[in-house]
Amino acid sequence: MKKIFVLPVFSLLLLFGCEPTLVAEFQDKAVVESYLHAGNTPQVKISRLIPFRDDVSLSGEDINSLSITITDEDSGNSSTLIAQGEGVYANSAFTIQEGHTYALHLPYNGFSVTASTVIPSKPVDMSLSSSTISVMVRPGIGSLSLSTKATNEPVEVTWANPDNSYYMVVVENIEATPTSIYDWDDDDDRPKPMFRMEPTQASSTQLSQQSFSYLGRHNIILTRMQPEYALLYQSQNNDSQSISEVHANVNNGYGIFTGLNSDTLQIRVVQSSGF
Amino acid sequence: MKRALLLPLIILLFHTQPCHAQAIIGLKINHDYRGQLDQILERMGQEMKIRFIFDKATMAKYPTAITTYEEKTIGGMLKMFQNSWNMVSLISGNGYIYIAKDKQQLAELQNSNLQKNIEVTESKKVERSSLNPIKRNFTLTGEVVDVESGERIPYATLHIQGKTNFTTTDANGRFTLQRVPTDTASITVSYIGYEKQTIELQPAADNKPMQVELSPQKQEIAEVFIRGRKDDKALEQSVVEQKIKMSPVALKFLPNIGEKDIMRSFQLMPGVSASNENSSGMYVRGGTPDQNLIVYDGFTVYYVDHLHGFYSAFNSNAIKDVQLYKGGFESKFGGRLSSVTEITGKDGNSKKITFGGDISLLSVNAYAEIPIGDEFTSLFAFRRSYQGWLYKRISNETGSSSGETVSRPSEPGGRGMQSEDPDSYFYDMNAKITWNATKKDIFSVSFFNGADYLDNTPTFSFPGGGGRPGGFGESSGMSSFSMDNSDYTRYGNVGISARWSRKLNDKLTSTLLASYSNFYSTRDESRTITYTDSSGNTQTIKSGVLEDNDLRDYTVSNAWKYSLNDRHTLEFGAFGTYYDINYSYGENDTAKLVNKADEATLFGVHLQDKIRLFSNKLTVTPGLRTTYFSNTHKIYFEPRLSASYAFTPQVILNAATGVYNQFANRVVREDVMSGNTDFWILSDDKNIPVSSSTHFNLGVSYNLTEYLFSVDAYYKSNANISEYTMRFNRKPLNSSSLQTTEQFYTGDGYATGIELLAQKKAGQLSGWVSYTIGEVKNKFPLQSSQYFFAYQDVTHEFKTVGIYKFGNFDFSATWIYSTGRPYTAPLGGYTLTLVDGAEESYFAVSDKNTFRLPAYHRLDLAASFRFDMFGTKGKANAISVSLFNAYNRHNVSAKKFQIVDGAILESNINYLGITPNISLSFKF
Repeated sequence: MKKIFVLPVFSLLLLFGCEPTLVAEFQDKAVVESYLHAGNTPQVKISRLIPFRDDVSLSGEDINSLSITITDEDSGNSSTLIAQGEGVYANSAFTIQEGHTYALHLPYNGFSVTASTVIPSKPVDMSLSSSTISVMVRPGIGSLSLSTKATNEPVEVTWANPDNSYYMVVVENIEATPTSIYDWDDDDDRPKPMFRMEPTQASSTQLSQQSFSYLGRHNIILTRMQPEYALLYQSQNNDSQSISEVHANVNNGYGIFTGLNSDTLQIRVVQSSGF
Repeated sequence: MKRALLLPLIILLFHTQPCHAQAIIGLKINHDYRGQLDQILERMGQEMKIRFIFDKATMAKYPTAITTYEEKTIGGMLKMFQNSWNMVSLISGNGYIYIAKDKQQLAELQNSNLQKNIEVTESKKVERSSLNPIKRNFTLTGEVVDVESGERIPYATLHIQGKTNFTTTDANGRFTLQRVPTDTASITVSYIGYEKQTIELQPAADNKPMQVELSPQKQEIAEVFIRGRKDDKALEQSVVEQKIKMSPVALKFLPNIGEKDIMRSFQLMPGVSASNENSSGMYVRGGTPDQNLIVYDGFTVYYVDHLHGFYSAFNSNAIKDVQLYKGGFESKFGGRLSSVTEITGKDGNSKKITFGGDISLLSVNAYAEIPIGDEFTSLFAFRRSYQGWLYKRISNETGSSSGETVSRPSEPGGRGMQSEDPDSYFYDMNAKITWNATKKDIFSVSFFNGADYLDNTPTFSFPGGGGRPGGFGESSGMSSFSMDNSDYTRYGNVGISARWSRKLNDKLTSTLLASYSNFYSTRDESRTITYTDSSGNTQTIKSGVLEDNDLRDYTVSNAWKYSLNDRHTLEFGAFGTYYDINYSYGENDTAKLVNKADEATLFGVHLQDKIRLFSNKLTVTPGLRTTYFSNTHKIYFEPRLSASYAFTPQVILNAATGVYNQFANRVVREDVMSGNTDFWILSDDKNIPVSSSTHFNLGVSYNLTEYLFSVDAYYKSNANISEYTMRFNRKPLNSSSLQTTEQFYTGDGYATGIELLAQKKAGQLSGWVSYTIGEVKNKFPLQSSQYFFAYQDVTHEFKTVGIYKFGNFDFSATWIYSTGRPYTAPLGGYTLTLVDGAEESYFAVSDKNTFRLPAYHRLDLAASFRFDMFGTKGKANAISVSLFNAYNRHNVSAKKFQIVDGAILESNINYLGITPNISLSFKF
């Protein structure tokens, strides 16, 4: 009969056995925001993690007096960044080189915050299927498009991507006073003069007329990026069953430290005669 | 205590007349006797020249049978009297045997001269009470049927009185009972939801198969006082297996939310978690719903939810029997890690045409049972919800908006807009036709289709030249414009099986099965704009998301059962399944971004032997299941072993162990805004490995006529289990294929726990109390080096069910308490400005599932009144009122977090509050 009780006892031991400590408390950690463009000087913005609960104690770290270094791991050169205020640090004497690996280091609240990235090469063979795109002035119903006449083919942006790298296209109106395609009742509804296509590993993307909100000249910026940056574009869940962290590439901290390289072409958005 | 009383008496006999008394005790009984005890004793006294002294009126109250295989001697018989009825007996010096109900009566018998009783002989009574067996140790075959409908009853238990021999009927209600000691034996036949019946075999009967007719539970109040004859449980925990049996006909006794629901009812038993309102799928002993195999008349059902999981897809009016194997299941089942739910559909009434149904605030449910000639029976059942108050309430609380107001993207407003109420519903239909072709062959075809259609679509249209501010002015030259925002989810099952059962001889039966099962799930969140310009040209633009999953399972199997002798029952078979699974995800009228097609074959064999030893006290069932899976090109071996041992007829120990593999996995894509979507994918041994589990179960039960007490412990070690990361890219980064590597975590885990049950099985007041303590933990190395609580982990779960019968009224109440489920919460948040200028917010979260939601508890009440109408008998009609969550507990299903202006906001997503329902059940 004694054997009957072996399994229950075994189960009980498991149920009430030792529990490993799990992270359930807020830790004051640094949030890094830094995009390194080839040919530019480095800039890093540091902010504090916003605590979920009010009753947590923050460290005495001053966001504007941190010691931040960037090291070019290919040349061995190292540079300490200079505080610019509001958590922004820069060093104009240091230039980011294409193909080089850069490492970030800063001590924060007892943590050694580190990150590393490679500056990708510039996109090659970027081209547009057309240098103009014609749209009709449309009624103001948000993002709806009615301009699908057969003649209005979308503009295709293409580039070479033999190694399936990540690319993203950002479109930016560069007119000093852009003319809206819509009649906006309220200026607050007016969209930004900039929009993006989602990151892709393909070698082309299409810009349809309905994506544009303004007439005039636009920069089509094709950015080659690292996978760590593409992670930031994943859809996120915000309920307790599926909430998760986006861990890009900052160790002992949060945020992003990534290399980018871009090429730019221009397109002109013109108004067509309508229906 | 009982034995202690008899012993002094026997010892006394030895002292007074040792030789004479011993001779009487050792006298062999050569005949079988049956009837009232007074008649038996009289007849026996005559035949054996013994003088029994007893009170005739007292002994007439004890109907019994004295059989040569049970009580071989007078001493054995006296001992049986003592054990069974606490009787006392005494053998006097002059050879008289006194038998009395207690010591006081014994003394009276000795004092008063009642010896004349034994001189009475009534030949006609005596004739019946003495039987001479013709056959001994023979095999009895037959079938068990419902007395009213003639429908065969599967898994009914038959056991020989006074012996430990027993058997159960198969899925077709047929049985083979080996080594029946004599053809004068009594056979007790029982099945939950039916009156227990004792069949007295008649000697000289030929070898024709026996038909046992059981009566469904009736409501007459007088019956509840008949001790030991009421088995009106809807649910019964097996004492020899890790199994719960359910009789859908008795589900009406349990509280329900307007629908008798088999899956919801199982959740009231220990080991099946009850705190998941938004899943009808069962969490059995720490397993997830997709680890529970659901077999309906032979085909696998892949999805069981109606209305966001609040109800299950099974119409209890179409179901005859359900068995839930909680763990350590036999080798005939496989392909799932945790448990098996085996559902047998009703064949239909073979005696007369029957109609019935239910109407509630939620749905209309109707069925017909139509016999066709003598050989065919048929059943048709249909249920459909209507968009009444209850549907809307449950849909709003548990559905797409999850109890919260979710703001939609800006939509056009203004003059000329028309909107329609969204249309959502569920339905299911069942059909089964059975052909009793010969005495040996039964053919049946079973069909099941259930689906949910959830539509959140608003429709807008504008007449031409509507003159809206900034609208389609005359300048546009457009004559009409309409925008159709589709937002619907459609999911469901289609299953069909064809079965041929053949009884080759008394010992060998074969079942050949061909089945098809299809699960489909479509989510269409798209926008179609149609306009006609002034020259009459119509143009259409489509944009949005279209997601589609389509699983097809084609299975052929052949199972055999060979009752070799009373010690060995062999079961063996072979099966093959072909899976064809497609998953696609498309956007904006473009080609499908993800188009995943999976095909695989699974085939295997299984073998087991049920061995009965030590006068059937010990049953050992070793088994083996071997499977080949084409996706991995591997063979999997799954040894199984279960055993039970009866220390006494009341105290039974059972144990089971085995290895279980799973090849198909369900992925739930959580979507708080639009409702979750599910899809199934196959293991591939690269990104999603074949998962496996090893079970260890041990249980002990103390089973009395009216009460059952049981303790069960389980431990499951799980390996290679996968979890979807829930981070599904709205636009997959790689447009050529779904990047499963990034979306699945794989690791190991375990589930363990102890279940306690105390049940009052019969009487005016019946019910049970159950308690489960458990733990489920997983470890996914990619995510964390530590074990974390699985989402389904519930530490304490307490459930109590009470059913009280009063006249034609039934009252019932259930109360459930359960520890809150674990969840992951943000510890902090941050906002980044991306290179395109957009600001995005991100969470810093705790380790997985380190927090607990508040405890879940709920009281449900129900009352029903039974009556006759349309000239029916047996009180088959009922009107029921129920109250779900009677004290309106705000149970939390999940929390939702948002980062707004540098602060993190938390809100609760609640389960359903207090909800009444009323339903009418009818049958004619």
